[in-house]
Amino acid sequence: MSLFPFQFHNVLDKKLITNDAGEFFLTSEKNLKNMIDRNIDQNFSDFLFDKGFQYKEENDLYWNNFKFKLIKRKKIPDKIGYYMIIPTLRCNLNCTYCQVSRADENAKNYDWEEEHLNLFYKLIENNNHKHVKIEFQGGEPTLRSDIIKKILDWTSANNIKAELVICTNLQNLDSNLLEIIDHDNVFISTSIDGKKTLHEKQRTEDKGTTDVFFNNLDYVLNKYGINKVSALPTFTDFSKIEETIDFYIELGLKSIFLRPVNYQGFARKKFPSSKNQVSEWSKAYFSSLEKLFIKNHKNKQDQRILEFGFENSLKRIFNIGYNGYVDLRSPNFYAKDNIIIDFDGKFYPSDEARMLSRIKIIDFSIGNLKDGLDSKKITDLNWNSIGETNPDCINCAYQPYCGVDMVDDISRYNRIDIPKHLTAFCQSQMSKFNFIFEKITSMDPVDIFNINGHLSKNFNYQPPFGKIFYDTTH
Amino acid sequence: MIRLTRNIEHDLKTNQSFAVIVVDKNESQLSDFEAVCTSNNNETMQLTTKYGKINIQNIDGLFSIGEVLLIFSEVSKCQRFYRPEATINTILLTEECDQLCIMCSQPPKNKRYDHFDLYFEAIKLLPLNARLGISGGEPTLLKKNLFKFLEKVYLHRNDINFHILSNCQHFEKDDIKLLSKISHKILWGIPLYSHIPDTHDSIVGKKGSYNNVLKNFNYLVQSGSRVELRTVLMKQNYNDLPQLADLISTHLNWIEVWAIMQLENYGYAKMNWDKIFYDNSINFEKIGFAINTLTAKRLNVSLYNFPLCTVPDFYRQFTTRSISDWKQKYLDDCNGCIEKQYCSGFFEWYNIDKGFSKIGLAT
Repeated sequence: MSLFPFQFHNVLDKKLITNDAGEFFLTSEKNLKNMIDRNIDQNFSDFLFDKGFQYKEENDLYWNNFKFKLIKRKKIPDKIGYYMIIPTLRCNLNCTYCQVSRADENAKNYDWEEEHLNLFYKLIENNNHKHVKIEFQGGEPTLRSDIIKKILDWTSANNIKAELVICTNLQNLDSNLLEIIDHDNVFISTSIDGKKTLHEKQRTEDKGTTDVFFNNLDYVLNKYGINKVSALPTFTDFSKIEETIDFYIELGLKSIFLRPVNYQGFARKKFPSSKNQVSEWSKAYFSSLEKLFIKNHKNKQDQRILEFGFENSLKRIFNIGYNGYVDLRSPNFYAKDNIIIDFDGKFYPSDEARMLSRIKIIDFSIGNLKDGLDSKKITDLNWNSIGETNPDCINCAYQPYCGVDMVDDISRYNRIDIPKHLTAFCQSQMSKFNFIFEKITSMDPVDIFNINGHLSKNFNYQPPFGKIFYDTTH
Repeated sequence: MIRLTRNIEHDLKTNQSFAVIVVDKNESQLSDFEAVCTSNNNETMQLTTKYGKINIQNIDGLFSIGEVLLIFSEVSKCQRFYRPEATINTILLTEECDQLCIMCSQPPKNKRYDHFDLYFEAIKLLPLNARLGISGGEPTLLKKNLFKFLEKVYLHRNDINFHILSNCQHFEKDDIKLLSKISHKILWGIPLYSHIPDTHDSIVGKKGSYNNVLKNFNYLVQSGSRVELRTVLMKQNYNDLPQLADLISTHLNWIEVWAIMQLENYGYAKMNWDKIFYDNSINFEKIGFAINTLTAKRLNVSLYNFPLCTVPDFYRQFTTRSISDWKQKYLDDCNGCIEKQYCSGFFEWYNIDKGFSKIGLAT
């Protein structure tokens, strides 16, 4: 019998033990020492074996399955299937914390040309992915609904299974856009910061514009139902979180993503505190999550709502192979399965990278539609996008579940080599994983109920894992 | 019910067995491997081949265009090898088996049907990307010839997919090489009934079976083989399902799907029915726990042979229409059910008096 390498971390009064395949259990400090000393009795050995921490001999079933889990956790698809494109940088609103920076609605030279479109089609064809997701970002992409329509027609004419998501402020629901939305494979993503007063204060600025937004939202929701629309709030005032959650439930939305204003774009100047607000945000976030859990527990199924950040972290722990979310995976190789294409045809590894480049902090562009990918630059970036080899991360018990986000580090600190535990990214992830494992450890029925709901949409009290405590008071 | 093996009357000018595909052509233009199917009257139909004419009772309707038939002239039989409209077409390779499962719907006999050359000829007639089942008995008792056959099919028709049911007792380290070559074309349906070795062994009637399965899984994982893990639900293993789910989600993450299956009341299952039938319409709890464990880990679970109305609302999404069309039926109770088209229905031989206590229209 031999142990696979393992890491440990304090969770409440117990030791959390994890391994690279992402298996975990909780035990006492004494048993941790026994593991380190390889002083393992038969009982403990049987437990470790059942939990996937031991193998009998090299190349046996347990060894090979461990290898399989490891590969699956690290694997990133090698074809681009997810495109985020910016057909125009122009926008018809002027939000207080606009993250992407924007151009005036009437400005010139901020739009895709016919040539961009043709090169984009070629890129999709070259990647030859079975299923393509195209997200239209901006600016306000509906100012160029003609481009959206062309892409929609092109994908269906070429038998490409495509899901189109239009990220829009819903100010401009004209007949062209309505015709596009009518297709089953087209979805709307929009920002709803909260009730009318809050939304108006942060985004729409005047009552007329606010009313247009809410009327258009109602129209789309009534006509197509809740699955057509996803919505995101942005919080600058953390005391408004609960009120906004209630408003989302009232609207019938099934998911909310609680996140603070991002230290990006215009927000840098208007909300300088967003540079380092991890502890303040975490406090507000976790208490809001706990309130949301209680609400879900009380409410009927159709009134329950998922929080995307929590869902995402949970799935990183439990779902082996949940590697699609670029902000939380490792290795986080760029331009592998997704890419951002800006209004001028430049490629970026993420939306945040695009913003940083736009405000001239760094040039994060990794090629363009005309010349293709800049593979040298991508390779350089990729060497720094591997948590598994970062000295600050290799001994962390949460490493198998965590990610790397070089872009966020550069955004906040202008460099990528400051100790990880001093970065907002690490602190924020540590606190999220701590929160989850504390919930798992305390086994409160309301928490288990919500963990199940977030993992499989099936709210119930049965813990979704086997025996996870060894020789503790549990 | 559709009868797959049929008696024939013929004037064939050959004693050899051969395969034909039903086509819509002028009889004079037929090649050696084509046949035309016409109706004589309501009671019989006629197949015209290059070798002569065949008369068959017309009980399940005319053979459809594209159907592939095996003609055994000497014994005057015809086997409906590939019906285009069937959910799956299966070769029964042998009725021999080295296990004696308490719920076996096809108890072992000393009969084999290893007509590999004929099957190969028939496969050449199949449409692109066709899927074929191979079942037993235990097909890997004929492993040497079976593997030769699979390799030959792969060389000539690498678009063909197989679904092979096997008890996973006979793989060896030396098989890894060939399995690796053909692994993506084969889905192995392999039974595992409990996380407790003795429970599994007593269900399959073979000491050491559990350990063999786990040992041989190591060859399957190393060869990248695709596995559909199958667990027939019984009184004997209902309580083990949650822990079996733990075992699968920790040590067998590479399987393609875990199929939890309701009984087919035929053969030994019919004989042992009262001892083994677990009525999930009364209590689904532990099946639900087991499903939760796998879905939490993003592994696929499927419920085979579970009529929708016996499954709680949330878990109906895991059911599939798993019962082969030729032995599937609905009950009088099913008339008017809005979910009927999504439901597995029941086996032809389902006995309503001894079956689920709660069935009825899905709500």
